[in-house]
Amino acid sequence: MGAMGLLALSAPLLAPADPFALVGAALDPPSLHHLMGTDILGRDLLSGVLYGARTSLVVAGITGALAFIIGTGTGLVAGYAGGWTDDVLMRLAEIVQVLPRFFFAVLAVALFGPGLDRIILALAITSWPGLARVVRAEVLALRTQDFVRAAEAAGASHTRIVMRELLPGVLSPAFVMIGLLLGQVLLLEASLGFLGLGDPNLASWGALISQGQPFLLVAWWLPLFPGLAITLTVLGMNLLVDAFSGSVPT
Amino acid sequence: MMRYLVRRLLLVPLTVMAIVTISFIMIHAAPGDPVLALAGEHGDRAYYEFMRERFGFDDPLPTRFVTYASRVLRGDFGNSYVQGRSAAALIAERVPATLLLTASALVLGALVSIPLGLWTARRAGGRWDGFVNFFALTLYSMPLFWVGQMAVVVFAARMGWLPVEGIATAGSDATGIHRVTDLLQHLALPAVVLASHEIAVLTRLVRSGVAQELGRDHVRMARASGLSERVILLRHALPRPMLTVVTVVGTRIGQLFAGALVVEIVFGWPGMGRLLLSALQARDAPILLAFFFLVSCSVVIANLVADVIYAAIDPRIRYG
Amino acid sequence: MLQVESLAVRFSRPGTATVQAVDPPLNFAVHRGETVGLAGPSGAGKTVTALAILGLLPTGAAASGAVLWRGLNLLSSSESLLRTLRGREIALIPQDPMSALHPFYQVHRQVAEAVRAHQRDITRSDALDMARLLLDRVGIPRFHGHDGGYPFQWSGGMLQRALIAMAIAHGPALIIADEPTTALDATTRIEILRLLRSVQESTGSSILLITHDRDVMTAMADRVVSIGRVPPPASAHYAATAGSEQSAGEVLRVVDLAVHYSGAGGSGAGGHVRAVDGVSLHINGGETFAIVGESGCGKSTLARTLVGLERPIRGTISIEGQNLVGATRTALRDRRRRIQIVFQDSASALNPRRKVGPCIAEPLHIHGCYRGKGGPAQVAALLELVGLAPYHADRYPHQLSGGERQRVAIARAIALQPAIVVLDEPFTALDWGARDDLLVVLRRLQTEFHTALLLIAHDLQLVRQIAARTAVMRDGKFVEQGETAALFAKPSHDYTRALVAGSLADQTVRQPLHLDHRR
Repeated sequence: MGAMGLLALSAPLLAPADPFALVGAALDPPSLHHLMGTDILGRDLLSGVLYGARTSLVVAGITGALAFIIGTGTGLVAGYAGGWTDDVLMRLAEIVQVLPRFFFAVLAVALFGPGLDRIILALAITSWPGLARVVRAEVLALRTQDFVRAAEAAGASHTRIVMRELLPGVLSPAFVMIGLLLGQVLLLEASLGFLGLGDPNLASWGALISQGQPFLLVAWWLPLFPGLAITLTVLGMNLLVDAFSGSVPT
Repeated sequence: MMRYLVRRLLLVPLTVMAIVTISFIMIHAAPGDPVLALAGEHGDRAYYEFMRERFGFDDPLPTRFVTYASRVLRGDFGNSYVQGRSAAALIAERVPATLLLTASALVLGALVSIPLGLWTARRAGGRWDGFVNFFALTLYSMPLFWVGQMAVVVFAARMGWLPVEGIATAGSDATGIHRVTDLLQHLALPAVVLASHEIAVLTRLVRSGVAQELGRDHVRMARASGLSERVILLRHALPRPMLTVVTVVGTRIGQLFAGALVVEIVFGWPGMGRLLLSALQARDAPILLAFFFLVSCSVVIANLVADVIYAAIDPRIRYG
Repeated sequence: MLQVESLAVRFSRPGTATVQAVDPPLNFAVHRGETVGLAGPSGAGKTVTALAILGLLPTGAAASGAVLWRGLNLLSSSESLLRTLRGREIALIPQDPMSALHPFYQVHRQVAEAVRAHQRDITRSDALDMARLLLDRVGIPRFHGHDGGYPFQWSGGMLQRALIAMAIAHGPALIIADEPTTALDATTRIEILRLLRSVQESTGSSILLITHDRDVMTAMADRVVSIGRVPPPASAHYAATAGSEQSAGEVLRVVDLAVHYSGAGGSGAGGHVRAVDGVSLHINGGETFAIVGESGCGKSTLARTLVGLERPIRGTISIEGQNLVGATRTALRDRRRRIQIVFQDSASALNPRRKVGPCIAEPLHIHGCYRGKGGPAQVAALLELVGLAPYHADRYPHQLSGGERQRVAIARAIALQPAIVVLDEPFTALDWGARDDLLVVLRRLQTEFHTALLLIAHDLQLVRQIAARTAVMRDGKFVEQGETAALFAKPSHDYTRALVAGSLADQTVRQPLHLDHRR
């Protein structure tokens, strides 16, 4: 993961060429000159993969951050406040959880036109409920503990109890959820790119793979390398989560 | 149990209405005239008039919502402006092929993951457990359409084992058993590819659930009474994780459909995938709206089914 | 019959240090028909020993030494041989009956399953009939409706009976009872012990009884084997000075306090529970006042109400003359400083994610008393006061022992220099050594700061040692209160008498057992 982040940041330095520049012969197999070969227009695939990393990580990163803020906030408030606040927030979460993330994003792009911002927003809007429910469950378990009562007995305010006593306890399950989410978002972003829904002016792994689809039988390298990039990134994320928790992706 | 089920059932219309509302809001939040959002920018005057009238876009907002909701709830999402036919009908004729694919993948997923999960749970912490876990994680980390492409490259281009395009051999007029084997041959690769994520998720789910159960008091008690390992695994350790499996399969319906559509595109399977792709390229909103609805409602129904199964199996819900 | 020779169990998991679960190695024997008690503090490896005998140690645990069953070493026996012994020759009665049965299957079917485990040739319906007979024998007659009952519908006592039925299904030579009554309430406890006795008499089984409860041990065991480090006798140096400290001025006065819970449990029909029902008391500076009673009598609710965690429906609480009930939020915040609480379970009373230092400093922050640079010194002084070192401030709660954690909780409670500290069963989770240390700390609080203590407890021995005055609580009311020594010497109320008698182990449990057998 970290390595992939570094690669993405340094793409302009490392990439041999502009990902959209025509630099070589069409459909050139991998060689010393073009380590991952070239596509039908003679564009360098390695450059495409490196720049594609930026797109993927930007989408995943911002989506993850948004979902984290919304989900953790909602879960903390719902779990701590209880009563009708909890009821309303959790019904809302249940309804949003039903929305299929992929098809919601597809509809959003169809209605609002292509663009990373709406993809990120659509993914974030549909991604927080799971996190909110996990955080809420954790808060419910924590708030009956005596250390919360001790803080109450010492006269701590609600904000203080939530931020000082509860938040630290929900962070690790929240990070696990976010880690799982990031893996899924990376895959979703790739799917959307594969369907041509990404930003046409930005390189993306999914789009690179879809460009290879018509030439599968002649140019195996076109889908291979971007696909490997996705797999390695997502796998790194999942292994990190796995090591952190031993929990199960759902 | 009745109270529980009634409460769950009451949630269904509520959720469906929420989905209607969300899509209504989205259509109106889109920039420009909502009819343009729904009907696209390249239609002719007659088509716009048709859509405008059908969804009451000239009426005030509340009336418009009622018109829209009643249309949508009847499965009327307007006409595709590319094909000029009802979006629902276009989807409906593609449903069987997609259902065949998804159902095969689910069955395959269950057939592989349950035994594999049980097998690894007994070896929790061991070398095989680690290997299977890593393998499942890797499977789960690959984009399905890419797995599909790689399968095409390897099995078709290199080895020529299996057909990789369509649902039946072109021009073939085989009947009876030959037609079935031909279909199965065409189904094999896409179904296995689509099942790969299900296998990964469910194996890990069964493994961790069963491993957890194996450490519980009731399993220890069953062991202490001298029950055989088979009985302990199947009757004591498996049931509760299976409930989780049912829930997770229910919540994953959306992802299963999404996966099915991209796999269909790779393999040229004549299901809803092609339709999705062409609708996307033309920004054919009625069809995409219909997709969104169809899958959302499938998730709602799958969740309801999971709830019913829970109630049927867990006595604490049945009598609670 | 059973011979355990230098049994030791090690737990090793990849990445963590090896833990010695049974240490020092254990030697004992169980002969035909006798009841051997296995005693020791929690964590000494009692349950692990039981599992080792049955060959049911979890993966990652390795047993060394020998467990000889009629001369056969079980530690080196094959799984299939062990399986033929389990349930047939050696049976287990587990600690927590609520979780020992599968929640999805009816109880009598699970008993029948145990029957069929070693009698493959009998039919399902015969096994079910056998199960009904067995349940009958352990005091669950058929008309009680046990057919079709699921575990969650049964009480803990009923489930433990069912588990005993499973244990005796094949007339085992040895029954291992692992804390069989710990999860049960006092009355059920005696019934289950009686049942064990009568079962033993009719089957002639030996019993290996694992318990940390001295009363149960004395009532049941013919011989006692100790496991783990032997606890030192309770020291008496605290008692010598207890009560001598008489003080000036009343710090806490409670008049006619009542706390109700509205119908909990989801039934809705129950109306409300009177958890505290018209309690009055007063405590002077530097004094120790104890409230004793069985669990569920309302003493913990009373404690939580005093520190403002529950709302009373009537009555007054005043601290140093200032009323707490009905005071404004800000006034309340200030007055709360004067009364603090220490909870029973120190593991849950400290936030596992925060280090000890910030945890102790928290009340100071809340009330704006944390003095910038001097802060760490304040924390260190508090730590020193409770007998801990400054470096403990950098530890997480899980790195401390139970006794150390409890002292941290006390340091936090006294950070604001309260006039009174409420101690809700602070000793229950501690072993003997830690108890003594804690007593010393409390003593120091009283002599140096003149802090009053309100002790909630059920251990009368301890109360006798440290409390000047005691109140006996039952069903939300004080049945009597007075000077501790006088109260225990001459109880005027029947309930107090029963309570005092109940703490004298030999009489209570054994007596009813004999009575039962004469019938």
